[in-house]
Formats: sequence, C-alpha cells, structure tokens
Amino acid sequence: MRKQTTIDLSISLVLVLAFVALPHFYSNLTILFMMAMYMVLSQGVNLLYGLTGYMPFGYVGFFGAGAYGFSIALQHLHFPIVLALIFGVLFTSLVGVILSPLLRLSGAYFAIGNLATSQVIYGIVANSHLQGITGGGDGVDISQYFNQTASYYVMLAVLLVVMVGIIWVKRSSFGLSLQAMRDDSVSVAMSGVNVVRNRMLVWLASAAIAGLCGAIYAWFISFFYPSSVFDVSIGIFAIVFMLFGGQGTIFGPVIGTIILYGIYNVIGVSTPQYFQLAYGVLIVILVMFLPNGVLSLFKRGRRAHGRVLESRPNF
Amino acid sequence: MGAFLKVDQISKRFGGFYAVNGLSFELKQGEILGLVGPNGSGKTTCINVLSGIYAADGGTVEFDGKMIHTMPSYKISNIGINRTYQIPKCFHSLTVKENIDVALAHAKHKPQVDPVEFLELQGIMGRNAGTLNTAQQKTLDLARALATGPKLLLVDELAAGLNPEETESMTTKLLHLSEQGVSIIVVEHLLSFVHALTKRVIVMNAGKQIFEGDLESASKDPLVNQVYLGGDAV
Ligand SMILES: Nc1ncnc2c1ncn2[C@@H]1O[C@H](COP(=O)(O)OP(=O)(O)O)[C@@H](O)[C@H]1O
Ligand SMILES: [Mg+2]
Repeated sequence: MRKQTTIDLSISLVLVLAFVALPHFYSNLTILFMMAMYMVLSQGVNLLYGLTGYMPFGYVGFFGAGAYGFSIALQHLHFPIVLALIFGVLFTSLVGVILSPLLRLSGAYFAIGNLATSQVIYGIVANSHLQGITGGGDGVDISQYFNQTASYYVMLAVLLVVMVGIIWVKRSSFGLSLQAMRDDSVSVAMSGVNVVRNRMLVWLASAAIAGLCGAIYAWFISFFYPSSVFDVSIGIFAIVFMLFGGQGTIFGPVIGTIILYGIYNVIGVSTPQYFQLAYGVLIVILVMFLPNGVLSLFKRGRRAHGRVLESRPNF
Repeated sequence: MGAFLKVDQISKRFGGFYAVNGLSFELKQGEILGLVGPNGSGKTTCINVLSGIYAADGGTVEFDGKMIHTMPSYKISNIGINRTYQIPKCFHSLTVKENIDVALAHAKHKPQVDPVEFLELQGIMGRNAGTLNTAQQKTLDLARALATGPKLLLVDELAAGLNPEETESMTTKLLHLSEQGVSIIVVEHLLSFVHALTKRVIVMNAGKQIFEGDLESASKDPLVNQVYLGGDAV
C-alpha cells in the first residue's frame, strides 16, 4: 500500500473515531448525526460530480427515495432494521436505473433535469392516492423503531465505508479512467474504457449513498413528512459543502461540511437572519476565488498524490 | 491471405451533407495505406467511422473476420484498432504516465513495442499532458494507441506540426510497426510524409475516392492535380 493511501486511511479512521467519542463531550446528538450525514452525502455528490462532472441538483430525490424505501420495508414488509436499510438502498438504486437516461444530458441540462425528476418523485410519494403505502402528505411515523444512538453509529460506519471507498476509487485504475473520461470522453473510449457502463456505475453508487443516508435519517428522526426528506436544500447543502472543501478530493467534502455546517449551526441558530446573507456571500467568494475549494490552498504545486481535478465540468 | 480490413461502400452524412460517400478499400496485414486529399475531403470522418466514433450511415466494415461497423469505440479498441487525432485528445489533467496507464489498464492485447521507450517519452512521464506542446501531445496520442497493442493503426495528420527531424523519426517508427505486422492507414493532406511510408494511396475528394494506386501515378493524374489546385501539394 502506498504511503499516501495509508495516511488517508488513518485520517479517515481518526475522523470516524472522533465522531464515536464526541457524544461523550457534546450532548447535541442531532447536530453530530447531521454532520456525519452531510459528510457522507457530500462524498456521494463528490463521487458523481468530482469524478464525472455531472452536477446532481436533484440529489435529494435519492435521499427521499431511500427514506421511503426503508420506511415501507419496516411498516409494510415488517423487515428488521438492517434488511430495511438494504431494501432502501436497493429501492434507490432502482430509481437510479429508471432515471439513468438523464446521463445522456450534459451540463446544466442534466442538473435541471435531475432537479425536476427529484420533484416528480416527491410528487408521487406525497400523492394522496398512495396514502396507504407512503402515508401521503400525512408523513411517516416509524417511532416504534426510534433509536438515535444505534442510527448514529450506523451512520458513522457508513461514513467509514464511504471514506475507504473514495480513497480506493481515487487510487484505482477505475478512478483514473473516470478522470480520463472527464477530460475526454471520446479518446478514453479508444483506450478501451466502456464510458457508458462506468458512468452508470458511478451514478448508481452515488444514488445508493444518498438512499442509504435517507434511510438512516428516517430511522434517526423516525417521524417525517415528504417535504422534509425531499427538501431540495438537503442536496444543495451537500453540493455546496463539497464545492467549498474541494471537488474531486478525498477530504474536501469532510472539511467543507465541518466548516460550513458548523457555521450554519452557529449563525443559523443564534441569528438566522444573517445566515442566508453569510452563506450567499460565501458561495460568491468561493466560485470567484476558490473554484477548487479550500483544500486547493494547500495543494498548489503538490499535485502528485492529491490529484486535484481541474474545475472543468463537462458543460 | 485475404484482406485484413475490408471497407465496403461506407458513408457518413451530417444533415443532408455526405462527408464520406460510398468509400471502399481493402488493406492487408502489415500494409501501409496513404489516405490523402484536400481539406474537407472526408479523411478524418472516414477514420472516425472506422474507429466507432461515428456509426456509418451505410456500408460495412470487416476487420480480422468480424463485422465492426456497428461496434462502439471501446470494443473497436479491444479487438485491435486504434488511432491518433488530428487535434490531439490527451487527458489534460493527467500526467503522461497516467495517460498511458489508462490505455494499458484496458488493453486486451500485448503491445508490440513498449510505447514509452519506442516514442522516447521517459523524460516527460511526470508532466501534466495539458502542459505539453502539440507535437508532444500527438506523440502521447500515439503512445496511448500503441499501449493497446493495435493490429490496425489509424494516424490522422501526425506529421502536421512536427519539424523535419521529428517527421523523419516518426517515419522510421511507423515503418518499424508495419514490419511488426501492424497495418497502418496514414491520413495526410500533404503527400511528402506519405511518400516516405508507402507507395499505395487513395485520394479522396468530397467524400469520394477519386484515385487509387501508387503515389507516382497519383501525382500525374489530372483529376488529382485538379483537386490539389495545380499539384503543388505533391
Ligand atoms: N461533426 C461534424 N458535423 C458536421 N460536419 C462535419 C463534422 N465533421 C466533419 N464535417 C464536415 O465533413 C467534411 C469532411 O470533414 P473531414 O472528414 O474532417 O475532412 P478532412 O479530414 O479530409 O479534412 C467537411 O466538410 C466537414 O466540415
Ligand atoms: Mg482531417
């Protein structure tokens, strides 16, 4: 194993262990859960956007699908928690397969198309004709399974797995072919790379990550409305955290989430009226001066192992 | 032995305009064919069809006993056809080494030559492909193509932008590959580079073949001279 890989794995382990220990020093488990969840979600966006250039503005569609898939498996199929989580992920992957024709669009068309489809899923779930299955607009109540401690630790386990996965992808020849795909999708095919299949794999992996987050979130809060798990801002948060930290990097999404979600909880809770302003200003600064995120500040001229992608989406 | 590559009546149109219009030719193993013609005559489009970047609108292509005109590019690469590009298409954010590694990782055939040694890229392996000059990027395109161990190599205007010394060295290399059994189609709009590589050329104009034969006769052919505006390209 390469030295840099060992370092990256160690940092990831320390990160997760810190979150394992944190509840003993800090009592607001919801904030810790949400922070871990956003790290995972923004890694999911990072996988898709950072490696293939597709910007999933409707990422929350998968999150919501996972939340509902999980809840339906619990309530109607009476699955145990673990199987219900798996069901949620499989259900989300199925949604991913159904939505895969979106990958034929590029750039802004993909982003908008993805946003629109997430709202269609929302519309279907909230529809009163499906009241018997989804609960419709009345929401879902799975409070008999309420267990915040367990769901928190499951989220941490997922965080660790996703971190290891990202590190593997970045170092593997699969990851290299993805980056080559982003540079030139025509000549990469002549190198023998099956572009359509690779895109599909990344798309489904990214969908599955969001679906799993949604499922664990549903378990954690155990009562929710369609509007709360299909809230577009969940996906947008994940995108902004990823962009802020550094797209295509291993730790960008983690750093971005810690800083921005941290600020959100300080300013957003005490003086919510300033939050929108601060956030808006931050995004403008980011796009103008730091298109590759804060991590790029430390990576200048040290490209060899960080492999920061260029900010060149496939628009 | 029969034809290794058999192109039969292929066409490709963009809207109502035929960029390639009923082109047919054959190629033997290890043979070098010059595909020449003025700018816009359809040479690059022909290469794009052979490499699966465009599906042909008509006609068939048979390579090594397989019909390939409906295959996607990655499969075409897998069965042993590869190419370079008139405008280089390297992976700009990757290093030279990583560019070649992508091709090596997906190669289905053992390369005939070590692309790095063969093309003398040792000195620039760590550089970002985006920082290379055009001649270097063209060489890198060729290195990636060779990394897949192609049995048929399509080179599109490889000599353009190379200095005379580099052109001569490239000529030697292509001749060496042909001796190893690699069939090569050399696309050029100037004939001097082709002259050093092969006797056999096809001259295209407006998507059609207007001449097939040896280069000397081509330069005396009135139609060829006409499309080349008085033959100054020869
Ligand atoms: N993707 C495309 N869309 C529309 N027209 C094209 C396209 N590619 C090539 N053409 C047209 O087809 C003709 C042949 O082009 P090309 O094959 O590049 O010629 P050559 O390589 O011989 O210079 C030109 O008129 C060119 O404008
Ligand atoms: Mg051309």
